Amino acid sequence: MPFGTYRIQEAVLGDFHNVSRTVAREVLWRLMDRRLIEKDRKSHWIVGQMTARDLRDTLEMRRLLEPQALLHVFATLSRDRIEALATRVQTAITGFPTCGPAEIDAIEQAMFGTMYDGLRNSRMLGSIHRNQISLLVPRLFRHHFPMIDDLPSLQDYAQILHHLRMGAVNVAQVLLRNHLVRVEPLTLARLRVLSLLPPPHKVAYLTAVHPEEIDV
Amino acid sequence: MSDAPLRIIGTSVTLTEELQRQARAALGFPIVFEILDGLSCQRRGVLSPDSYDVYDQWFHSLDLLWTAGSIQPLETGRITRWPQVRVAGAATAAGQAFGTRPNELLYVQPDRTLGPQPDMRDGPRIAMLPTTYNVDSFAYSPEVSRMLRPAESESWAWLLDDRWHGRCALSLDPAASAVELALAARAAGLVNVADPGDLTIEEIDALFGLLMARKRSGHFSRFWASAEDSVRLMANSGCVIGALWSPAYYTMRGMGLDLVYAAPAEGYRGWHSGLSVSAAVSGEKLDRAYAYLNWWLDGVPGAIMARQGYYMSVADPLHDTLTANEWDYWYGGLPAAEDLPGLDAPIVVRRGERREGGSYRERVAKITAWSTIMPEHNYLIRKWREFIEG
Repeated sequence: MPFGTYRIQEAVLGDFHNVSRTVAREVLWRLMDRRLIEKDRKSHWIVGQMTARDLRDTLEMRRLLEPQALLHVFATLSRDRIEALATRVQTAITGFPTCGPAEIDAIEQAMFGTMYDGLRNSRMLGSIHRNQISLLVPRLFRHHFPMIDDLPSLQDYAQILHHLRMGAVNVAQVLLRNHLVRVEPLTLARLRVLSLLPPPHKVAYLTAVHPEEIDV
Repeated sequence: MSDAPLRIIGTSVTLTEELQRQARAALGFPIVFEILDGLSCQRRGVLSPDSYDVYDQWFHSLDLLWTAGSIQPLETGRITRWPQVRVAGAATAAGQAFGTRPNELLYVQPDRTLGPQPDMRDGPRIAMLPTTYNVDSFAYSPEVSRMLRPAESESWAWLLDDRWHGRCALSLDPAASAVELALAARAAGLVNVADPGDLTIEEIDALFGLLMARKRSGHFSRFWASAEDSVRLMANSGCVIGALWSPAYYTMRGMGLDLVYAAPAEGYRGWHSGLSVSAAVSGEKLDRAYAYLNWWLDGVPGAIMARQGYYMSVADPLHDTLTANEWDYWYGGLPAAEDLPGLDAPIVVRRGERREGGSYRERVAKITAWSTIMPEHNYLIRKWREFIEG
């Protein structure tokens, strides 16, 4: 979480979503399998604070994994899907910033989420999902601040999609890797800005904790 | 022309009453000054660009302001004295010190990042007009002096020293205080810190483990948000040592308090201020904003800043607005040839006194770290809040 360290109360989480505590616990175990949350020594569920190091480390993993994943799924990507996404990105660029933050959220979900759905290597897919926390920062950012620096990212996506349409997957891989290099300092700077925002709307199952209160 | 006033936000140390009066007299259009404490000003600057026209504060806050898109690029072609502007430390060892080196954030780059080299294609554009700067440390009372060992060097480690347990004051601003405390812990040999301007997660944990323990024991009990707060703390609350800005120090000298401003063996913490224009400003208001920016470099504001110990990015005009004796003391680092006035007191420097650290070139050369928004700022600031509130 960019906003600090939180404890998750599984019973309250279950009540909040109208599911049993068993189901809530199962969901939390799965999140822990993905290393998105952890348990402290007292068996409290803890979601830790996002740090600059988290972002650097996960972006490094993304640069290793995602270009390779793109190569693997390339043969299974439908041309219509790529065309449709390319058109959507071009429309967002043409109308930038009137496309709004929700449209860019959706484009990034298509570029970095559903793009890899056909990946046969489920371990690789799991690693990719676990390492995409860096996407959370620009998503939060564009919902709180003017959209300025999102345009170069859209232009990166347009180039990647263009080369996929041309069948030049190797070029698309390089462009994807370059994009993930380019956004690192910007993502880190945005994380620093997020420190000024108050924590978002409180939900009952999350309780802010000071790190020294966690018994790890 | 519209009657809508130019709205300036800043802190009391730059937007002094004298500066406000002189600006209104010189510029001929309505100006509203809003004085905030440092962190509130930074927060307003980032989160509410519609609420001000000109932002007057720290260079290191550019990291937040520029990333958030709250301010607009400034055309150096509209800054009359731009060729005379010198950013503190750019060409000296201070340009290699830890933390946010101001010259590295000066110019707008083609990819909208900020960097040290001008982009000449469209005329160099900057994010903030460099104005006033200084080197900071801490001040201490004669009570501390009496407890010192013979020939003991002034050190940031003194902020953690038990000899004056419970009588140390700190600034609430982590961009300054975290750097100072990292320097202190390193100098005292209590925490192994590689770069006080870029603390790692482990270093932050170790530093705040130490600080929280010191706070629980009562060592740190007083924090200040503004120069006025620090004067109240140092003058009335039993504090004998504290991080202090120059205006507060000279205010207390004007009040007759006998304090020493330290030149720590490890070096000073440097900072640079400047003026930025809100992204929301355009048209006539933008013209007035540029007029205000240009006025700041003309000599009168620089003299006002000098009389509280601050330097200016354009120093030449100050030869006309300071007396020769004032220049020699404040900039030259020479013994005062006569008693010198401050902003609010007729005498803040006594004849024969010499500024600690020497001339402005010598003092700036001793900067070891600049105030900074560290890479792990988001992690550090939550630890800092726990330290302050805990």
